Amino acid sequence: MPNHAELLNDLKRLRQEANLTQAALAEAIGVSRKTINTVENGVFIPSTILALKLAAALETTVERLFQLP
Amino acid sequence: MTIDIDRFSKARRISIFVIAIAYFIFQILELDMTANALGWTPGVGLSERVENIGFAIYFMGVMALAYTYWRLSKSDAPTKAAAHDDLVKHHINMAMQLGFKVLMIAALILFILQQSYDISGEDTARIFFTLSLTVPYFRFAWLETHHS
Repeated sequence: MPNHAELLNDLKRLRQEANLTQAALAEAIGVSRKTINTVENGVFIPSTILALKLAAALETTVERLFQLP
Repeated sequence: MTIDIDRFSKARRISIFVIAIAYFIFQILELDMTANALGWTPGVGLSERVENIGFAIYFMGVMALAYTYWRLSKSDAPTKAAAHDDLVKHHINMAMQLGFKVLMIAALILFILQQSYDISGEDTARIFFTLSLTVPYFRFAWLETHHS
């Protein structure tokens, strides 16, 4: 799980379980591949709207995707 | 029409780097003033050439940036959304924050310098205007490159 000082995320594992590439997930929710990449690597903390879109696209919950350290 | 967002982003940040560097050259150097003040006659002609080259590069940079957005305007809605997504907005916010901090520091430095040196209102305006344009441009382009 990538470490960020304020937020941990499980995006990469859940995306791979859904058999999606970064580009495919980005296209599904209408953001750039860079955005997915930076969220996965813990560089960028997404907005609530983006977090909800990611959860919906991966058919999971925001709490499973993101956790407080 | 779908465009390649990664290529679009690369073209945009290269254009912004070019614009910021060229603008810096033809605004800040101000060799004319320096050369005239020092009585260095050859420097006057040199400064004109430097400023002209700077302006030419700046103009090309603006045209290149305008072209990337013209291409984007012809793309479909999902592509447009991807080109202006959360990460880009975050980078713009960070760039503007740095620009604001730099302007605050510049204001303080200029205030201190004005106690000892004769700095005209035009020079002050030029410094503020140049910093307010170039600092956010450089920061945004750097962030886009760093997170690509």
